[in-house]
Amino acid sequence: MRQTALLATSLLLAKLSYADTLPEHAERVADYTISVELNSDTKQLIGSERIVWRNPSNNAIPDLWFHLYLNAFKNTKSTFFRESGGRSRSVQFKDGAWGWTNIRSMRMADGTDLMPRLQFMCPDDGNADDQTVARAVLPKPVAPGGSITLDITFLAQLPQVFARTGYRHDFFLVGQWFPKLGIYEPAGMRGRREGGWNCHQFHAATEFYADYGHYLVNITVPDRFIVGATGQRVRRRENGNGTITHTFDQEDVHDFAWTASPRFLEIRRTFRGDEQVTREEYAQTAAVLGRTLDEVHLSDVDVTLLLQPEHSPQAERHVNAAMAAIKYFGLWYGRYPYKTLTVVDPGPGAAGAGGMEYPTFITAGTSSLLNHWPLDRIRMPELVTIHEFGHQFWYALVGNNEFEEAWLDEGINSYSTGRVTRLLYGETATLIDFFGLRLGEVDSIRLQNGPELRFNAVLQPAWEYIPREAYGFYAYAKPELLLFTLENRIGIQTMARIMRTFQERWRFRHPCTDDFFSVANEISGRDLSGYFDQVVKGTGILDYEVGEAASDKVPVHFGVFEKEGKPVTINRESALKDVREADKSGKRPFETKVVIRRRGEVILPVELAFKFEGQALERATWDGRDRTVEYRFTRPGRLEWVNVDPDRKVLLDVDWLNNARRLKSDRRVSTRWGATYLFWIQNLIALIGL
Amino acid sequence: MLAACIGEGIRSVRKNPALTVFLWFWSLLLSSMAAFPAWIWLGQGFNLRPESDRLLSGFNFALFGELAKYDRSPVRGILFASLFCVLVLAGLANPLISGGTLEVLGKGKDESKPMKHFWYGAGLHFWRFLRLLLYAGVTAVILLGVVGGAFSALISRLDDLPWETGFFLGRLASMSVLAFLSAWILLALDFARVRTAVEESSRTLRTWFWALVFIWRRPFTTFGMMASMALLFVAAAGLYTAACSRLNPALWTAIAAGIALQQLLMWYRTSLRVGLVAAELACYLKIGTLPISVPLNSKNAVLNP
Repeated sequence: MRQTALLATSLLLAKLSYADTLPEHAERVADYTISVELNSDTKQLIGSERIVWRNPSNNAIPDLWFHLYLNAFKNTKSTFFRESGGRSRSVQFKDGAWGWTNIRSMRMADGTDLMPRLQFMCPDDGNADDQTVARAVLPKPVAPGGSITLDITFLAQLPQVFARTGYRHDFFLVGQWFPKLGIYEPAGMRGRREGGWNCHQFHAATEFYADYGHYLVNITVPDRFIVGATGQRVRRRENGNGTITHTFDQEDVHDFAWTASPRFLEIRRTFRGDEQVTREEYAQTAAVLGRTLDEVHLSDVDVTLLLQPEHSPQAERHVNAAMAAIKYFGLWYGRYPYKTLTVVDPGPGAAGAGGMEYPTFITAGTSSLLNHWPLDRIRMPELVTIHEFGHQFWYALVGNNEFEEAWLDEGINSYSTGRVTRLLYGETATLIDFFGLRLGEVDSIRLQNGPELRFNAVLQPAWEYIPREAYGFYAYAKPELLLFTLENRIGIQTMARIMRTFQERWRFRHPCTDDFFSVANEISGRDLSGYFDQVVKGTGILDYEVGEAASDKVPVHFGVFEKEGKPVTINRESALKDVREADKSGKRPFETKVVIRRRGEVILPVELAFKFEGQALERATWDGRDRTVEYRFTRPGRLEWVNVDPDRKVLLDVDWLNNARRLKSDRRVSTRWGATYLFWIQNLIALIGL
Repeated sequence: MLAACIGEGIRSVRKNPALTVFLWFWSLLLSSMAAFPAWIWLGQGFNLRPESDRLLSGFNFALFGELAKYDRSPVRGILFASLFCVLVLAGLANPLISGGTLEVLGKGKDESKPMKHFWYGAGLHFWRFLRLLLYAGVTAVILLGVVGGAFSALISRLDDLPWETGFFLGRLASMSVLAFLSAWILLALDFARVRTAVEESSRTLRTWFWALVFIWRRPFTTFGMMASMALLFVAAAGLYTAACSRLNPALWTAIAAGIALQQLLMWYRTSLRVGLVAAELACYLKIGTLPISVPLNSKNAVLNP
């Protein structure tokens, strides 16, 4: 009965509300038909591709710009190598295991050879030795709304797995592997004043950006290999020469990756929208988001897990994580529109290929050590799977520019991943829970924050972070902190509607940061620009602290006072007598002084809580505009403690330890941990001392 | 033989309570020197900050991380420096402590004034034991370096194989072998000291090589003694962990009980160590094998103080 009432209320709410709807398809800008053959001995790809590109602008376009990502691994002079020093994703590059792409031919549909017109470009850093971007000047511009067809043949040498792509033994993860067009951004797109190509070099800290289109890819491999790829497998043909050709087809994506290995365990499951989500969950979601039940209903998805055999005990963990991710990301941000999802567990020694996202295709990452108790309580496979699946929404469906605004996918996805993982695994032990050692999601991201992190901004090109490692904090952790802080300010329902609307409006499109701000302002009905300017565009930190806190009995006052309009003189002795009597009867009040300080540059209104002896909690709000504020109280009892942001809503605060102060020292914590420290040193000394 | 030696060791511990209490107190004193700055640091960081109360229910990475933020961070350097100094001091005092311990354990029926024996033995054996410690250190560096290097090469080859289990097995094998070699060196150091003390030999280098061979030839007895004591300690540590998990960490009484249990465990560990030395002494005297010809000195300080 209660559920029926809930359902009815939800339906009513859902019908009354206005909502955007999820677009079904992307505008096709770049279609790729590719045939590629893997030589598993030389680790080379022999490929041909036909690209059909449509000019989305009102300008005639005189040239085409291409990414040749594999050339990042060609030599030590590439921009990628110079920036990374040969180390990326915790993997050291192995000398000799180079990778490159060699375009053998490039012709237009009428046979015009573009090879003489092809030249390498270095738009970001002027590094003339970098060959990850090439430009082909066309004999005739592509007219507005017109299209061009190119036929390209190429030979690609895969590197030993280093940064996402390559081989290790007989495991292949083939990403960033074919000559691929950049994006022509017309005037007005992502705030551009004039149209132009957006085609950045491959940097150590950057990912990707491409146009949506249709991919039809024929992959030929030795017949012992098991293959997984972006999209649906539409054909599997044995060639009679010891090779098999797999054909994959997918619309509305902007990249294509594949994997091959003879060792994979192939595990298939289906996510069913009618079975794995209850009617109540649909109803609650519709009510929260203000959408109809149809709009929040999820589609079925075929999930394929390609697992290393030594990780077979973790099969269900991967599958369950993927299923939960399809469910919750789908409910909150709109149904996953593709029919397939492939989860790849990289082979031994290929960790550099793990934790990566491609449309309908993700790589996870685990270890045999996590197969059994107690280390199975470290939730690495689950977290990686959920995070990478989240990128289907924030990267694959909402196709932001990862080079220039990485936070829009990594940051929003970290926030989304945090919501799912907290729901699934709890607040305090989200990541680790064994032998009493716990690490929660909030603690794990707050650990990365610090007062010294005030020299970069969230919104800046990914290759411009100094030091380069700062990218991790500003693209992932800080956006997650600032979005959770925002959620705590505006409420979870408003936040959920903002995220949903952003997904609906920008699915299959390329938003910029200001587009997200616009949606947030509109849906929340508040001007949040001040907040975003400070925490996304600005470099400042946020930190509030209790500067001083003291409570003393009110001092003795004497002199001339006005009483009923007449001057009354109270001398010192008389005043002291009154005070002594008040002390005896316990009625002498206390004067309390509290100083709150803003140590950081970021200004955010913040709640304060004051606890006086024998009294209920008092709350106040400080706008935080000044650097310091002083509060004075006269109360019957002393101040016990004062707490800035008592509900810990401001996750961006770099130091929660200084947020609260008590007046009476409590030595329990320092005694307990000091004694424990002593105990461990004693053990060390016992080892070497006798 | 093994059981008899262990029994002898445990009896010696029971006969010398003052020795174990003294050694436990010595470790407490030394550790306090290193822990005191940390204790002050924790007190300044936590005592007036209610946020730290989360640490009463268990370790929290984020809170300890925050303790090190801002101007509190240089304290870590002081903590490491004080810890390093104390460990060096403990290492230098090691020959004194060992000499004194062996002197007390070897005094036979004369149980009066044990600490007088202790200081006498500490002074008597110090330089010889220091030399033995030096030899043990050099042997450890050479042996562990060579074996560790060989294993590194093996592990890097295993890492190149498409066999993840091999990756872990290689590391496990490496750690096991290095642990075995470390135990061998520690046992050899103990036996070399025992022989040096019993015979008042000054031929420490020869005694060191003798000890290495002695352990190699009698692995069951020598490693068995060490393993038995280690097992007894692990069992006690398990009991300690179980007891601590039952305490309510927010109560002062529980905190005090936890500290008492920690010190009880440390005293127990010290007793086991003394028991092991006594067992080794008994073993040496029982086996009586003297591969190197050093005549038993009639003025033997250990047997006839």
